[in-house]
Amino acid sequence: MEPLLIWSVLILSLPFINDKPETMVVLLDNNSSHNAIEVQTNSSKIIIDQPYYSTTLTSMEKNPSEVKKLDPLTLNEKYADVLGNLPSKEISLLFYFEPGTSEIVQSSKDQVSNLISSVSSHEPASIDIIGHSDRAGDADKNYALALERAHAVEKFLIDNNVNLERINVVSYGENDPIVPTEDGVSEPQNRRVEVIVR
Amino acid sequence: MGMKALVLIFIFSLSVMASESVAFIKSIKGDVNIKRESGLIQAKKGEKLFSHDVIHTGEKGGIGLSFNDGTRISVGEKSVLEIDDYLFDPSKKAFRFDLSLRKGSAVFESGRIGKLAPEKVSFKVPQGVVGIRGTKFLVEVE
Repeated sequence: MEPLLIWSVLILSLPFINDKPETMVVLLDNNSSHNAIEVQTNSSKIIIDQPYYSTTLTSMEKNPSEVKKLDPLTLNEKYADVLGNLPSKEISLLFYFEPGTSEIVQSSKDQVSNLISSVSSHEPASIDIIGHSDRAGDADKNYALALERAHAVEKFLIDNNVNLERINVVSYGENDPIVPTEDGVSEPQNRRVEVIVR
Repeated sequence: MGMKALVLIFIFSLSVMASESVAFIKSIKGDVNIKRESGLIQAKKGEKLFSHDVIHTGEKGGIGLSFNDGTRISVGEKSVLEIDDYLFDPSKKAFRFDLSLRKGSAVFESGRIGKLAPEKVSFKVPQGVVGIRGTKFLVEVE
């Protein structure tokens, strides 16, 4: 579930000091070793793949400046407001089902208090309910079953008074398995509904 | 006949997507306005945002945004950020994320579009464009 490629970038466009607008781009540390960005002008492009390294752009027609390292402490202090305002990371929970049905298994139902506290800590929260199936049986039927399961979770959350002001219920059918399998294979881990609170 | 039906469906689905919200407001500080075709809107916590919305923050203002794919953005004071184009539809493998920061500051932490289609993310600034590099890394890890 952890995204493989996440990146943070602090972009600062310093507006028109002495009629010379400049933009500084800094790659931040988000504890991912696959954190890299490409900064491009009409004249050339550079890669930044180390946290706290930055480049400055002065014009679309000029090269980005040489990459240089900034002091993390100074940066974090100077831009504390915009850094501190970044919303917290989403939380994801999985609900599992009895084979071939939209009956939620008990161990999944037991997560509801956990989910309620996630929603209240993310207020204002948005909830995505995404149904998934395994590859046993027909793809269209799996799409429908996964949607039915997603709606079963929605109903379960409503019955448990979870705040669903912003909600989105969808089915990915058999297209996004956790465990990739051949067609026709029954795989309990893929029969799930993902609830994302963000 | 089949072709015609296909074209109609395509047009229909485009118009549906255009009317869907792409993000919502998680937090607000100070004075923040949203410029939309229908006019100027005072930004509020929880409010939905759409493609082509332009966010203006005042002195000591700021806003935190959460996009449908999990991307999070913080916009600092005295800034102008436009959501040029956004599309997140994993079931159709359709992705698009174009943003422009005209002035001020922003922090961007990418979500699922950055993972599934990094080449579709483009963050424009007045003097250049920032993109995600790393499809290669993605393949190696998987």
